[in-house]
Amino acid sequence: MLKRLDLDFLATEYRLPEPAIDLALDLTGNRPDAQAWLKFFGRLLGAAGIGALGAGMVFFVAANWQHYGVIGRFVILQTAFVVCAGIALWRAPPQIVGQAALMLATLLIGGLLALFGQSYQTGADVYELFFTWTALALPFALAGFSGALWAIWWSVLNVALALYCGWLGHEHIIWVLLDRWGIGKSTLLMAACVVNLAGARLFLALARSRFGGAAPYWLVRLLAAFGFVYGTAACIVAVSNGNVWSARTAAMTGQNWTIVVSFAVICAAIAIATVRSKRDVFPIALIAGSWIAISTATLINQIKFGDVDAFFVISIWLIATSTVASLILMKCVRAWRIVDPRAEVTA
Amino acid sequence: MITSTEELISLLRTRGLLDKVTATDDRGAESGAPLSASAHDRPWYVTVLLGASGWVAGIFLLLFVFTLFKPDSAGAAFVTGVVLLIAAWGLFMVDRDGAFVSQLALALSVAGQIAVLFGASESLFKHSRSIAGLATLALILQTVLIVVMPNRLHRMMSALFACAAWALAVRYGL
Repeated sequence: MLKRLDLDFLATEYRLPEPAIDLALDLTGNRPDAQAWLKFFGRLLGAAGIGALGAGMVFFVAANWQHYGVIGRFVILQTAFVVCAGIALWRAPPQIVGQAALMLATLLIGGLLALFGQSYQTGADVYELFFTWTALALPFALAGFSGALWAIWWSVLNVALALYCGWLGHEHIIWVLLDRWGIGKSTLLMAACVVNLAGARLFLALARSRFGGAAPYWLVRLLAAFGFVYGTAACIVAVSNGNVWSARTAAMTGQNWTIVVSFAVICAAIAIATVRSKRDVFPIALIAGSWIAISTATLINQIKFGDVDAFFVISIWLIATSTVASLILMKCVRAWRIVDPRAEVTA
Repeated sequence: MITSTEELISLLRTRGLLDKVTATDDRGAESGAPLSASAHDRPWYVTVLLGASGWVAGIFLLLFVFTLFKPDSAGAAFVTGVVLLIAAWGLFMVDRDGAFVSQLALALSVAGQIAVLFGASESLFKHSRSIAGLATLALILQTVLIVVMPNRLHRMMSALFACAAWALAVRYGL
């Protein structure tokens, strides 16, 4: 059967007029009927309901903080958690009810940890909460067999990594240790980049296995995007020679060079693999965006901001590089779509 | 039921719904061949790349213009902004398909929008603590730009910022 994606591609490529699109939808059986609309609304409302339930549970406790004792607050959240776990056992994934219950349970873990920290004033850092949340939610992510559940898990992990890499002050005990070992902020950010890119590679491999249902391609893109954000941040910190956020000073130049070269090598490897497979332009766009940002940061570091023309040079640099990047990307989009019109989605 | 692309294309051609006339480019030229990625089917990530770069470039351009001409009053900033917006509109009109020119025009427009809003807010809402007035002004400006600017990316960005401005105006104004 001709899929809707094929039709979308055809309609765009040939600029089909409205009557032609109508006819194509009818002839290929792609016009959504009442049942299809009901299914769509069911899924949409289901997703909105899960989010609202999770948020509602946490806000209920927060809004009624004064009215319940410590035990009462825990009972509310833990009861909800146990109910979710029970539903997930009753309608085990990949059934959608079980997956939804596990998503809610994953969100409730965060609420419970926050409640624990607030009630007993553990003194733990926020990043510790998120790392613990990640660890406790891992079994649910594994059992859920769902791309959405994995996306939540990776998002929590990335918040933890971002807090760990970016928001710890220089006086923190972690930095005292890291400084002693000669590890700079750019190295930490690069480690977070590698974790995400490794995750993207893993899920790309899973997509081609029998676990493909838990590894949609948008998740691979999401993880790649997370990875490139960290890689770009690592290189920007490195090119500013550790003086922007790092606890170290100019002595780290060698390490910073290693970071920039490592990221360049990673980008080159991804670019080569992408050009060989000719399936998705997205990784090339990430590479282009990253290096536009890194080169602009380098320019800003090198130029004296007292000069009037410095602003003009940076502006023109951004316009020129983004224009060239978009031309190259669109060339790839045109050429690679001919190979496989559904490449962007099915790759 | 039709099950292949070739079959569908053949049937559409037979019924006269897919011919050389249907495959026309932006300037109305007939080609007959399938059209490929134009601004209309630009992937969202290329749009994001261009939009984000255009925005940052616009901020630097604004700094350049302000450093160069030193508009010392709200009125001067407003006039500078209007001039930048007219320049952006002119560039969009002169060369709609040129990638570099479009990006330059986008940056000019961003700089112009910030300057206009700065100038207008300094004149009208200088002593106001709420951002509702500024948000309403931004909403009006973005709505005008959606209508006026002949560029898809610009319209998309203006629509996005109009929504954000509307949300702020409602939140802090009512």
